[in-house]
Amino acid sequence: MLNLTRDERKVFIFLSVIFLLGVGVNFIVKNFTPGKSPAYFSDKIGRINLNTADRDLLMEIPGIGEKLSQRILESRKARGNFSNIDELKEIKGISEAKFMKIRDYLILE
Amino acid sequence: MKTPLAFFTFCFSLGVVCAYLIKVPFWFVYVLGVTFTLVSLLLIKRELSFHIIFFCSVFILGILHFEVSSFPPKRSISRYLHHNNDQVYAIKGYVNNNPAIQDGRTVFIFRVERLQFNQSSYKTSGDILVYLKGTKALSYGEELILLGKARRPHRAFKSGVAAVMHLQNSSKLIRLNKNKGDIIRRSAFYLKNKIEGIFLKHLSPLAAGIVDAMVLGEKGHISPVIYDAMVKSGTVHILVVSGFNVGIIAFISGLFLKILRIPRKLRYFLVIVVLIFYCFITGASTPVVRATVMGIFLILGYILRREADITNSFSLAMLFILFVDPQALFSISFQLSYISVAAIVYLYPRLRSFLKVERIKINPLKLIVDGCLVSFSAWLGTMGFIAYYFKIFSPVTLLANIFVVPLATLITLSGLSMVVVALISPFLAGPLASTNEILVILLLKTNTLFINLPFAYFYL
Repeated sequence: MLNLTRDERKVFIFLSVIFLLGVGVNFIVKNFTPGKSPAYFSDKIGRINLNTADRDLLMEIPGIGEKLSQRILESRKARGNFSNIDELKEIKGISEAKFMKIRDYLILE
Repeated sequence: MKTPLAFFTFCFSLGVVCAYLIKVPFWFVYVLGVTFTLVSLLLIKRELSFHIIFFCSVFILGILHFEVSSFPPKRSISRYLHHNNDQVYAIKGYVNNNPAIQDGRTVFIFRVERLQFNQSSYKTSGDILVYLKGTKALSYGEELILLGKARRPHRAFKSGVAAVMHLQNSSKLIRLNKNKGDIIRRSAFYLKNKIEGIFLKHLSPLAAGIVDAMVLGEKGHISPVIYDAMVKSGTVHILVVSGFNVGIIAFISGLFLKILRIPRKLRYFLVIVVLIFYCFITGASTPVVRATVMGIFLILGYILRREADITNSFSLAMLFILFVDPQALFSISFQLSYISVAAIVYLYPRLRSFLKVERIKINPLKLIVDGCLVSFSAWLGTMGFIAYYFKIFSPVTLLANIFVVPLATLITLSGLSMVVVALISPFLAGPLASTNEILVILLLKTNTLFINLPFAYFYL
């Protein structure tokens, strides 16, 4: 019919077996791996590290513009690293309201 | 019979269609598949019975493959999405395509790695489609955190994306300044952006949009009016990167490597590498993958000094795409791409011999008749599909293609030449840009002329 030699037939059967095995394993992996398994809760996700962020990264935070990011970087350079996020309030241009707004975007590491 | 792959592909596709139409229990079909494979092993010395049983097992493989690929994995992000639309998610992952700017929005596919909501974080997988208001210079592989609401799309898993996310401003997107993409795709997208930059710099927006579509398959810059006019005349296929472009790339790169006196075998391997790279540049759409696999198969035939059978290479390309994504069988792009090539492969030689084209002594006339027959074969093959999907019947297609296709060929060649010249020296690109402009205007005028003819097209 297709004039396949015996060796060619063996190859095709071998490929079918491999494919069948693959499909079976794939089905098991998709269906029987534990579902909603909480990896870990991390309050870091979605936050920017105040001690390593560069100017562009700081400017991603709503309420922080070019000037303010520059002041934050200068303050960080002057004091070494921030040890507490509250220290941001000492920077000119960060009022209590602004601090409350940007606090949730930041983390210290 | 020289085309066993065509039979395998047919049986496998039949299995995929069967699984699409009928819901069958996985384990029952799996046991059946194992049984058929074992029986075919026992019947290996027989002729007819081996083939029947083996084709049955290939048919079952098609069913099983579709079944497995049609439901999302346990960790897919779609399983975590709440129906409550007010839920805000924090999603960590990376940009998984070349972001595009559409209607003032930055649109990209995002590969999800971690999802967080309700004080819990989960390891997840899957792609989501992101619409970010405004234009933001993002690139493939960039690691981000997105903050916003996500919803399942209408045809969730079939569309390939598990969720859609709309971000109202860039403050909802946090850059992590890391790149996770693979180097091949990253460099392919870099080159694509560079080439697009050349088109936009040297050509008018109208010409740049058309040349961009023809060379890189990027249709985002084409005006809907032009696209609609091309649909009416049945020449819209020239705006898609296909086997024709892949052929040009293979020819140009082969020629260039020959000039460099690269040894024959190494040259063919390098052409294969170039084709794969071009496939990535153009976004690996179905027609390009088909043409690339077929091209590779033909080149391998040259390397091994064996005559590559067009039907076998065509079937192999189809089998390859179906292995990767069996859902592709039901996409318009896949159907039109394969039916047109199948029609050309099957009908064109028969029409040629029926009309005794070989007897034509004048070469230019022979070339025109050949062109008409190729166009006619493709038109016959795709006519039913186009009428069904686009509700349009265009008798003018045949005539329009005779004039539009050569112009498109010239635009593609001229566009590629402009890219090469501009990369060497931007000052030399000017004259070529003017040629491109003229050709594009000629193409559009020709197309308009044909769609304005009486009975050029009918809406069904």
